[in-house]
Parts: sequence; C-alpha cells; structure tokens
Amino acid sequence: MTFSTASVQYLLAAPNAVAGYALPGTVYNSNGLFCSTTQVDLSVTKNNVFPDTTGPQNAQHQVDYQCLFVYNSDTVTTLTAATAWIPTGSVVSNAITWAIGADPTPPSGYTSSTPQAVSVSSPYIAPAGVSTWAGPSASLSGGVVLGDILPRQVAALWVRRTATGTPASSASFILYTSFGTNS
Amino acid sequence: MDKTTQIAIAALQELSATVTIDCAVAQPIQGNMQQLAADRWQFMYPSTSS
Repeated sequence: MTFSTASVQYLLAAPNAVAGYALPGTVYNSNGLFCSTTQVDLSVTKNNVFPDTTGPQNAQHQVDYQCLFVYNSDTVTTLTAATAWIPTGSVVSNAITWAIGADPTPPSGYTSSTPQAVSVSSPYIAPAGVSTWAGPSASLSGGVVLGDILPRQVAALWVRRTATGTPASSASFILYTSFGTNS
Repeated sequence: MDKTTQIAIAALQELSATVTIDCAVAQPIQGNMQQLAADRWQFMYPSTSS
C-alpha cells in the first residue's frame, strides 16, 4: 500500500496522562510528557496551538512554549531522517519570532507508558534539555533533526513563540516535517 | 566468468507533512503589570492565591 503524508499527524500533548495516546489534549496546555489523542486542528489554523498574544504580553515581549508530537500512524513505513523546519517564506508578519526545538526524548511507541517528552508546568517555562532552537530557514538543513520515526511512533518537538512588540492580526508560519520513505 | 550482481535500489522519496500555526498579536500596551504577574502566578499555581 502506498504511503501517504496524511499518515503523519501532529498531536497536542497530554501532560496529565500516564501513557501516550490515552487522553485528549487542549490548546495551550500542550506542555509535553505524553502525546494526546487530539490532532492539531488543521481546519482553523488560528489559535490551534497558541492563543492570541495580548497587549501587555506583547509589550513585555513574552516568551512561551508548546509541545507537539509528530505521529507516524502508518503501520509499515518509517519516516527516515525526519527533520522539522520553518521555511522562511512561510512566515507571515514579524510580530512573532518563531523557533522550534527537538525534544531530547528519542522517538517512542505512541502508546508508551515511558514519558515521550519532557514536560513543563506552564507554557512560560522553557523545556529542559532542548539545546538547539531553529528559526526560519531556507531549507530543511536549517531545521531540527527528529531522527527516524518508525511505524506507530511519535517524536516530540517544541515551538517557541516570542512577542516582538509589533501588532498583527495574523502571525503565522507553516511547520514542515520532511522525511524520506522507501514506499 | 563474469558475475553480475543486481542491486535493487528503492527510490527514496522526500516528503513533507505540514501544519499552519497562527495567532493574532495585540497592540502592545503597558498594562497593569502587577495584575499580569498575578494572572501568570494564578495560571501556574491555580490552587494557590497570589
């Protein structure tokens, strides 16, 4: 059966779960630990991961973080050398400085009871062990390596949002996860 | 005798899965920073009072 990119899902985190894919996730409580059963809403884009930045938050250049899981729901195909990146051309407005970082936890089975990512107590806390943050880049070589994601595995990454003091009705980017397959 | 080894090379495809992440950003205002700090405290420690 031919592999489809629709088999690759972005899941919110479930920081109160005791295993992966056991509880639903909610926007702005995607604070790591385990993957949830909730996919990032692809139909609305706005506020599907972060709420709007308020005026006082923008004035103080607030920095916050959310965890996402790249889930390979395919039962056969491995995502080889998966790399998450932000194409420079996908960024709309300079009101937010976006960056992504790979969680230090290696890819794991999607229902694993061993933590699948580090966790934070609130979106304002930086995740421990995320050593490299990658901003927008011209190619995937400027992204962060998630590694091989086997069938039914998840790999965690973090999105960092930094307000710049500039207003915008829409501050967006497209997160790419690029990978090789043999099918 | 010549020996020929056939090596099957699977075509490696490079694919991408994408998601758009978006939010609005309000005009910066120097709000009540004390209240903002209290709100943040309450968010982080909802069972306590600030």
